[in-house]
Amino acid sequence: MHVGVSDEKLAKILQIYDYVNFDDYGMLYTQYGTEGVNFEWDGAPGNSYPTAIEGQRGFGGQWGFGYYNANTRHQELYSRYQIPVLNKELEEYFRFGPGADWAVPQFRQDVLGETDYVELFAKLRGALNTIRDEFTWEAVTTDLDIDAAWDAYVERWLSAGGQELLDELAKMPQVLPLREGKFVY
Amino acid sequence: MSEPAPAAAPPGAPAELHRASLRRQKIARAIRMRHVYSLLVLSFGLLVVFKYIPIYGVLIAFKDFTIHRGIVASPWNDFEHFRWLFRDPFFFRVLFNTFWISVLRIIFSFPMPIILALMLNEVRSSLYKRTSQTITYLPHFISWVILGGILTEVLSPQRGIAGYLWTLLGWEPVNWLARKETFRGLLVVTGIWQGVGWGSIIYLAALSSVDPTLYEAAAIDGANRYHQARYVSLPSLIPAIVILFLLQVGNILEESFQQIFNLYNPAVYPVADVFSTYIYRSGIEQARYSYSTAVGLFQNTVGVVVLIGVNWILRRFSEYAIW
Repeated sequence: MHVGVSDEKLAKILQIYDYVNFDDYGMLYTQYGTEGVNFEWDGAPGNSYPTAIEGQRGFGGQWGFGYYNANTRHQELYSRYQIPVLNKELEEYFRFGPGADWAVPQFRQDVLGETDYVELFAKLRGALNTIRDEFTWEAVTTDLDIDAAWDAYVERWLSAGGQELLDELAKMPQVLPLREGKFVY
Repeated sequence: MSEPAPAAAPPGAPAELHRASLRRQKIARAIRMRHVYSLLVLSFGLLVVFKYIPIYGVLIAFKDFTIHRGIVASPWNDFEHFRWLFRDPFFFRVLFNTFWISVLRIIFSFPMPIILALMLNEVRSSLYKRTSQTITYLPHFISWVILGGILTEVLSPQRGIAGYLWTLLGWEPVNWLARKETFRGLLVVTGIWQGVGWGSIIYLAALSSVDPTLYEAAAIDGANRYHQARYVSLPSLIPAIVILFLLQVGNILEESFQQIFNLYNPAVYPVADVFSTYIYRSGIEQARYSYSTAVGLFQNTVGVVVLIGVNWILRRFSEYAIW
């Protein structure tokens, strides 16, 4: 957000953001349009895949079927990189089907941006990935005794900055209590 | 055009007057030669625009550079990037690899173009000479991305012709590119293959300017072809060798990124990871431009120090230093 944005404008922007992302109707409306006009439910309303009504287009011949700003994407271009049938199958499987049970939330998440994890990760990532990749390649391409080498590998990873990263991670709130509105660190 | 030598100061004339006269002569000469000097403007301009103005970007090595703030407005960070560089767990490994691969190249790759140029200089058949030159130049014009692909295929233990010949001899196939023992050698050998022809051009040019009467005189004195190459051709190459050697030494911490990046893999990181490849992964890939710049500055500083040191040694013990 630009620093010059006035408080009133900022409040309005946040309202729109809230409406688009967290309001059920707003999310549906901005992503898929109006029910019966732009899309129809594939099954039970609100618990199935919204399908575009044949021939439905957004502004100026562009595709208004997607995210809030999806109007910038041209349908021909959009469909070149997307396989709608597959998207639909995947979404049905993982959102409403057996895949939904597989969803495992991450343990902690820095929702309020309270830690330096991101900055620290950017600084340490090169070294940590190097250690990880070397070990992986050695494990795959040589007859390395993984069980014997494992502890040394973990120790190496931790001392190369991994421990700092884990310490930073421990400062984040846990995700499951967050869903009930509680901050548990 | 030869210029008349400036007149010597008349006996008894004040030195100040004489210097002023010399200065006037120089200015007059520069004005007379203005068309020749004007040719310098373009190259000087290019030098300033592409080599001097960008030096200003070095500032970000000392700042927490973010793109939206720009170079000037980004805050100073109290040498934080340099501290990170020296505490990086891979700093000394990368420093050693960079230095050692450069030394290997200086020992094994550097003399190759000289030897090739001396050999080509002895070839009498023009067709054979030109064909050999073209064949040796060719790899220089192919990008390391493509050469890397070719070499990976050729050296593949499953598909490559090298692996096939190896197994024909009854040996177990070897993945040379994934073995720590062979990787540095491969870098040197493939580097020679790629650069030897191109590198020999400057030596061939130097050899073409050798006065043929020197060879005739040597032949009259009983020198055979080997003696002529050893005592006439080689000494005439020394100034070029010294300059190229100093340039190579100045780049001692700037190992060929493209070659290593296109050939290496995590299995050989311990012997192949050099500054440029490690910084690519830990700096540029993480959008840490300030950090990458700090490392570049460190490399260049070491390069300049080594260059000055080697030049000093050469000046001390020979007459061929560049300054």
